[in-house]
Amino acid sequence: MSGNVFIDNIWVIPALPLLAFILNIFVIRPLDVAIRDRSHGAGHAEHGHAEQHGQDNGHLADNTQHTVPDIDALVEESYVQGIDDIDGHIATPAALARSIRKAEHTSGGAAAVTLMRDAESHPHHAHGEPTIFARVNGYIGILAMLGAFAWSLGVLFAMLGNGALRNGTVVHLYDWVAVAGINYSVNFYVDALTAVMLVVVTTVSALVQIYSQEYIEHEEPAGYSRFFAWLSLFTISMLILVLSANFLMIYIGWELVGLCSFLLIGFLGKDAPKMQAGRPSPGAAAMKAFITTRVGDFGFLIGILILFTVTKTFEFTAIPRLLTGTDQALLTAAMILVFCGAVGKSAQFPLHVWLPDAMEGPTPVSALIHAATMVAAGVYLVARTFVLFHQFAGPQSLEVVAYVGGFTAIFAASIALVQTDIKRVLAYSTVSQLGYMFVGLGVADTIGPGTFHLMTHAFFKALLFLGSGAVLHALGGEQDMRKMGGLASRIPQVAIPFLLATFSISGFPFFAGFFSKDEIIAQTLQHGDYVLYAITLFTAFLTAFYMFRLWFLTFGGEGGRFGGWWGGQYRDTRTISQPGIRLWLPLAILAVPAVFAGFLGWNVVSGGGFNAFISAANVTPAGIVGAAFDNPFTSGATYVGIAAAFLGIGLAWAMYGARIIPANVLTRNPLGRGIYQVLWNKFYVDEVYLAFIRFGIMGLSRIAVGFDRLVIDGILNGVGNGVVAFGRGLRRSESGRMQNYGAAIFGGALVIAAAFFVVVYFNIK
Amino acid sequence: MQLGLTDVWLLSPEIALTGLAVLVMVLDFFMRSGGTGPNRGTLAVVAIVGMLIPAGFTTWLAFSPNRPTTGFYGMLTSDNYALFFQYLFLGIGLGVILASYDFIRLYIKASGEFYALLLFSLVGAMFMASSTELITIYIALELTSFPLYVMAGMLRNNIPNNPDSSKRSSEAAIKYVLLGAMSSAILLYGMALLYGVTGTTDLKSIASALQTFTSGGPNALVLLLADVFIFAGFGFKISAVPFHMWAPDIYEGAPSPGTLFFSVASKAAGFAALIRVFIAGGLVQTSSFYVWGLIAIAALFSMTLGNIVAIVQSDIKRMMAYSSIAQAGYILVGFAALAFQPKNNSATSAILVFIAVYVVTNIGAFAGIIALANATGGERVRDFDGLFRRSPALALGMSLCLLSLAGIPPLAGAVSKVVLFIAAWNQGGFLPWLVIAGLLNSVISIAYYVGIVYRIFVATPPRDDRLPISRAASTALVLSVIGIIALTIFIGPLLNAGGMGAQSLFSYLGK
Repeated sequence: MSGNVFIDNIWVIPALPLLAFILNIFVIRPLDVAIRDRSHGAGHAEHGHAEQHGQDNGHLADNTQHTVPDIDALVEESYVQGIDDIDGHIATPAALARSIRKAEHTSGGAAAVTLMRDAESHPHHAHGEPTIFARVNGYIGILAMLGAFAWSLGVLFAMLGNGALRNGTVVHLYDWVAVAGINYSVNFYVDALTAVMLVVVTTVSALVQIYSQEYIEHEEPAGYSRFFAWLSLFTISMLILVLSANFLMIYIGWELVGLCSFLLIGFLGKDAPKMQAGRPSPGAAAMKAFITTRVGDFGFLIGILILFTVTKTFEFTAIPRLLTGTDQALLTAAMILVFCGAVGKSAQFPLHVWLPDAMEGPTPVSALIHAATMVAAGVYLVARTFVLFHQFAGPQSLEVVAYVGGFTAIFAASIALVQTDIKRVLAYSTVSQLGYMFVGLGVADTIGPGTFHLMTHAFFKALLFLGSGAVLHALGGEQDMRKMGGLASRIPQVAIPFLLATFSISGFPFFAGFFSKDEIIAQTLQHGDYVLYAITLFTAFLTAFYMFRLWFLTFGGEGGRFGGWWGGQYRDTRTISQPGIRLWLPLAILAVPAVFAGFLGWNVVSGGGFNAFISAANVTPAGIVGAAFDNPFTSGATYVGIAAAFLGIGLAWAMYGARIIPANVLTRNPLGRGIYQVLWNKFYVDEVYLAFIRFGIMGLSRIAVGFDRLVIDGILNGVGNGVVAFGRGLRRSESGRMQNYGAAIFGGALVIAAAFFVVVYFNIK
Repeated sequence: MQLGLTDVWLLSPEIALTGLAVLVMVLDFFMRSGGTGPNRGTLAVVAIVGMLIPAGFTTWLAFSPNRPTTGFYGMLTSDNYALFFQYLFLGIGLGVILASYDFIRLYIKASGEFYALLLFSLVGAMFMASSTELITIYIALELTSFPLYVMAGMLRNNIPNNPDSSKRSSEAAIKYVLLGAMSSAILLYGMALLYGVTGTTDLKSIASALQTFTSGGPNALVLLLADVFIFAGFGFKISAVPFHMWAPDIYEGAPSPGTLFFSVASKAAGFAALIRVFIAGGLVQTSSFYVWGLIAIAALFSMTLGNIVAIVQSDIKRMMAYSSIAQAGYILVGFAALAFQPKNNSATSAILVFIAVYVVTNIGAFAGIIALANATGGERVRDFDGLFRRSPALALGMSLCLLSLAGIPPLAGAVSKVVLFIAAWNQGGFLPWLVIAGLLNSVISIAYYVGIVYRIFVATPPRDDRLPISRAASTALVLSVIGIIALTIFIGPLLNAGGMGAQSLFSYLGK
């Protein structure tokens, strides 16, 4: 107990969205469904349901059947556009055949997610309005989030005022199971890291909920209540994850956010916009996300169990005390296994494949879960257990963290260079930036740089995603940047914050992303790791390039003002609908931290700086509280980083803004063409996995099925049938079964009694 | 010592419940003339609301920590152990009446009888938990059982889509009566032997008589026979192997609300009395190796046979019968730990907690089965195919109950199983092996519990329609689901209650 009212009652923060969730699904949503049923006509409720269900199925079937013709149409289209495509994008028949195959392969998952939907409340892609109760659900969700946000601010300010609180307080809620032999408690742990995460999660959640009101109203009015219920459930889970004081709780939160991610990716289900080549159905994407992260979670679980076996506790604060003298190699293995969980959740190579597909979820979900919060949980996990990585495990563990992060950063950034789907560019960008965070954790001797980037990234990436959602909304769901262009002058209320966030992520001086990213790059240098320095520096250049490519393709381009920077030619004919205030206000609010949050890390402005604040005693080894990187401008390396950013921005402008360099400069020669092909196909990782699954795992599972059928089933059925046959045999006696049962009861008692009699009487033991 | 108001006070929950049962029976005469729907509802409402009175008395007793615990010259012991079961039985009454309401309205059409019988049986069950005198326990057992025999045979008309169901119900009733009579004969024989050895029927006196008992010699042998026969008698009630053979037939034949009631009330009452007699009566003090071995063997066989045979069942109620045999096996693992080391507080409280969680979960699972039977008349495993598309809420609730029964973490069923197994494991000796057998059995049990869940979500439904789900049964299901979730998150209070119940059991033993 810390004596601070906000920290001692920290349970209020998850309790508020929990209350909203319970009100939503148990009180208001039934009312919502009830009045919608009535408006459908009460008389034929029973019949109507069946009909509707049939209709839904029909729709699903239609959707699947249409997949192939759609792709065919796209093949044709690509041939027509050919190599003169905006990006010199080559559509070879082989590549398209691949995407068709993939689309066919993945559509199977749709059925699974369809299951997660409640058919009764779901008119066939109605364009109606949400009912009054659905709206009330939205308002309750937002109010709860604002309350949680206010409480989180209270926690943060308490820590700013009183440095001792930053070191961490264990808030004991209750004993879960406390009997002889086991004692598990539900504890929350609140330190500076928690406080930062709480503020980030609640800010983004609140803004995303406000944004979703308008977004979902248009995309899926029938699922309005359900969407807010899942959003609240997600926030509860994320808050549990962030607040947990032990591995048990964090694992529960970890799985719960995974479940919510699954539910929300598949949210649009069969009502998703028609499938395009290379885009999986939401159902398939949801399955892929769930299963891929499961691979990492398996390692995580084993890691937790190793630590538990050694220390007999799950508590973060107790584990370090009990680890002294443990074999370092074992701990290194354990921490690398824990990091496996982070690899899955934070979509690092080689488990990154689910995140781009997860973009099939509604865009507010992409912003909240797949950009700002859940995917950062892996980074949070490493930061939370940093002391174990740093002090107890061998140096290899943090090297693994740094190199996996570094490789993923450059790997994902290179894929982002050629993508044409606006959300996919941002998805690969997220993967790449998460890689940066792991580099930051891996090379620095403190959690400061990694978590600082986590925070700034949460703000500007949420802004970018919400902005892309506003673009989608304006263009009626179009995600292909080749069909955009010049939007800045048409939807300036979206473009202005979007541009600020683009500058921020690109590392333009004095924007938030500049400070946080530069700190990580500087750390690699200080750590003497020149490979990682080169990787992170080059990735910074790539980041600036692909982000401004996105900017020019979407908002600027030929004919725009200031040399293509603002507005220009719009390459499609759809009418542009103006986003309302609930869509652009969250963007404007997010723009403030996206631009200015960096100053928190600059000691010229913020005194001790972010690092001193977050590097509390319990997560960071004492004495290494970083100060060296608090002022980036004292180091020459910073200017190299700025140069890389400028180079990237300039190149993007020259190719896509001013068109001084033709966009197909690379694809004109065979080598460039080859590189392009590899990048466009995302290094064929999906294909390799598919082949592995098809030929490796499926083959194995066939063998296993055979084994199961022949041996296991044989044994089980044999025993079961044997017992049944035994029973049947007993029944076959002529006088009916009664006597046999009676004989069994008396006989059983007598046999046991006789056995005991013999044993005791003859004293056999 | 003299009889006084205190004794009546200690007996007040049972008295109130008896009064309620009589009231329901009498009210039924007046309802009969009207004979329409609302009147039947009135009886259920009276039964449910009326149970608040015994619940109030139980609570009064529970919150009077300095009360005398024994009354009626030591025949009645209203300690925390008894109060724990009283709450449990009242909860069973609530759950079963809710779950059965529509089934009875649709198929049995004799609600007054059913509810009155149910309440009388609950009175008997309460006495089984609170009596500490052999004759009283025997009477209580019969009071519990007789209504069950009638309930088994109450299905006088066939359920649609389920031919011969009425015939099988009558058959089940006859079998149940005869087999029940045999088992109580065995029990009575065991009790007589015990009386012969100790010269008393009072459990406390038996315990003190056995304290000075030397093992070996003819008397010890008679005592051991008494142990075996008493265990066999209660083993019938809890359906432990080899006294389980009635369960599948009678579970299948009886109307589903009756089956639900057998599977929770009869089992819980059987365990309440079994533990009381063996522990409070001090039977485990002498020849404890054999007693322990007897229980351990019964546990091992109950778990294994129940789980393996459940896999191949095609009737859901038969499957649940074997499931309940297996669950009895798990409880017997805890009881074996208790017999191995008497005065083992953690094992007793783990048993109480496990029984409570089992009761809550089983009520939910049967409420699901009954709701499906109300809607379709189907009671076979394959009737659950694609249930999710026909009724998502029913499917989700039912699945949660089944997963909890299977012990899938972190649900309440898993927590209670872990608590039980850890309590047994910590006893050392042979018990870790029994626990390992129990864990392997849990794995086997996944095959059929999750098999149903798989059918619910993945299999193709026989018809693409929406099932009308009866309100009362779904209320029981929802209450059970809320109970499971609440116990998953906050099992602490239940563990405390179980601990208090366990403690009082040993304080009675007085050494």
